[in-house]
Amino acid sequence: MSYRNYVFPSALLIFLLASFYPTMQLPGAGEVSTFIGPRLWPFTLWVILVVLVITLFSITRSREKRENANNEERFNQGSPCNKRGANVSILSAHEISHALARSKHWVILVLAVLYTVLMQLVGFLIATGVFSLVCTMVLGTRHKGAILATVLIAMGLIQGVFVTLLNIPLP
Amino acid sequence: MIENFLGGVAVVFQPVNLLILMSAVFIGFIGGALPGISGVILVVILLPVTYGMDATAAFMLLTAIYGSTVFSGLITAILYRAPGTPEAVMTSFDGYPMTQQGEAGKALGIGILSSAIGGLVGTVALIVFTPLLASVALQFSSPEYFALAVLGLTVVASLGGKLIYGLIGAALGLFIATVGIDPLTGTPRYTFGSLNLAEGVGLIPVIVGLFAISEVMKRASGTETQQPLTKVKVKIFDSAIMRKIALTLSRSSLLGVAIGILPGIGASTAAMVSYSEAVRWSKHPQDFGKGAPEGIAAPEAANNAAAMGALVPLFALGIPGSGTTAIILGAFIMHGLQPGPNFMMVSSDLIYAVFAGLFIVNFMILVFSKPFIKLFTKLLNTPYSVLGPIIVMCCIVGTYSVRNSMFDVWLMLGFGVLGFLLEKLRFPLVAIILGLVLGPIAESELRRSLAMSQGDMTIFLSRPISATLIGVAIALLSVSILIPLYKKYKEKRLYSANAD
Repeated sequence: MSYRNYVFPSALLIFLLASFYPTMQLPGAGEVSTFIGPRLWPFTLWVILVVLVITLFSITRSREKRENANNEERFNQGSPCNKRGANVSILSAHEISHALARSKHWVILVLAVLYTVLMQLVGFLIATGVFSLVCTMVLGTRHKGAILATVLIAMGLIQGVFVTLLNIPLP
Repeated sequence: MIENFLGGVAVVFQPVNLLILMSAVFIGFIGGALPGISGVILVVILLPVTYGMDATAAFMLLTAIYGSTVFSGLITAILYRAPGTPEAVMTSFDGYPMTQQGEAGKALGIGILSSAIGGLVGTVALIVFTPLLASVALQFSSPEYFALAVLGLTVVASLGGKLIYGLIGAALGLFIATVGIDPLTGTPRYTFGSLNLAEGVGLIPVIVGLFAISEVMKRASGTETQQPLTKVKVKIFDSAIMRKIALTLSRSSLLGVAIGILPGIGASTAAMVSYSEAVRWSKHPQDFGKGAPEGIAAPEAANNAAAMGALVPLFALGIPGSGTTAIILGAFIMHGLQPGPNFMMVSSDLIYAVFAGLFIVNFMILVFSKPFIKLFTKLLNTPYSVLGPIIVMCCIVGTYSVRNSMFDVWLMLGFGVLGFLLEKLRFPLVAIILGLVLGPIAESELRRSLAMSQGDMTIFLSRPISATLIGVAIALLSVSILIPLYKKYKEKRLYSANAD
């Protein structure tokens, strides 16, 4: 059994279990003046979601069974599947180095969080400058002119569109 | 209708509005042409910006961007076989072979002309059919509105990916929409004492997070590189080619309109159906896939016509015809407007200004696309390492500016992570938005309907229009479930026959 396939349905199930108590705490028809209470709709959706998650579990299970059967069949026939097995360790090492290079997206997320915090501490203009500088470099730009242009465009865009044009008060 | 339309044209020709339309076409060109920035993302990024604008100007901007991105997806589809938008996938089948044969300019010219004609036919259909459909829908009451919301939710069947994910996404969106104060009783639901949650989960944080932030994260994690764009000489009006594609253009435009009006089918399907029809009707079907001009004209005319057609159910019934129109529906709600039958009467000035704007946009596409391709080849080569940070900042500042709320920014970042993870499963994120947008309508109309019938659920089946709408919704979902099952059954039979 591949546990990765079950992460999403399990997460949904946990979410539904956690939301059951607050759903049942909502007043029903008898407790309010309207004909239908505020609980009916969320509870109906909760039940629909439970049914859908159970269906997803069963679909995932049956697909996994099918894939296992196919793999087994290929293995027994001595198909290219076996030959691929020899390359697994080399491929994995290659994939690991790729995976490390691909962790940039989490860095971008952390930078976005820091930008949000920094904006409240030092104001949006400085925070924008710092964020665009670091983020552009993290995403792979090395050319100084391009980095400087990005920083200036970003600061000008925020100041010009949001503050000057739309009069939106920013921190 | 003509008077209203002329009134709309007068609004569009105000210098500010013309400038807005030109900017929208320009932005749409860039967005559609740059792989990784789809029409949905552009509309999403600009949503917070439109919040401070006049509603007419805001919707002229959003719909014009929508129209021009559907067009500009063909540029990279023809030049790189990398469609800028999903609607342009079929265009690459014959567009790219023409580029390989050194006829990129000719291919782009056919694409531009076909898009403009398809868009114009679609806009005429939009102007004619929207009031007709809305006048029929004026007889609707709560059960019909609930049935319409259910029908709108069946769009999930056409979003691609697994249907079960679409259904879960829609149900999750409906569930998220229940957070906040219940509008009928004033009871707080899932607020946990938070004042921020009492206002409900805002559309902007969810949309911006799910689409824009997740896209930037996805692009940052990828290793794909973009090839530099080469110089091309575009020729739009070539009489020999125009004669050759005239019939294909007319057929595909009408087909596109018909498919676009149906909720849940979408411009991508229109392009595919139109392409296959072009092959079927052609005297030289063997030329398709090798650089046939009709192979570019058919999908481009159809997808632009369908994109306009998809706006008919949005304006007339308040149900989105596609993913991007679902987000535009969200934008209407954000501006305190509710598209639907009464919308034509209450906000006819706005609607006809938008219609006139879309009409003009198709001419602008024709006029500006050639210089755009010529002048902005360098801009199209802008690396994502420069665009990414600017998009993230626009998302954060834009989300904050809607309600001056940092809570919304944190929510948006949270939904960004959720969107990124769900995209790995090929989860149709638009399904969540559909649920979120249609949730409040569905719930309030369901409760009103049940109050009308004293709790009798058969009210939805005893009224002909609601029964028909629910029947259509069930039929659409059933077809989506049964077709893959039938295909699987056929494959199984074929496999066992081969094994024997």
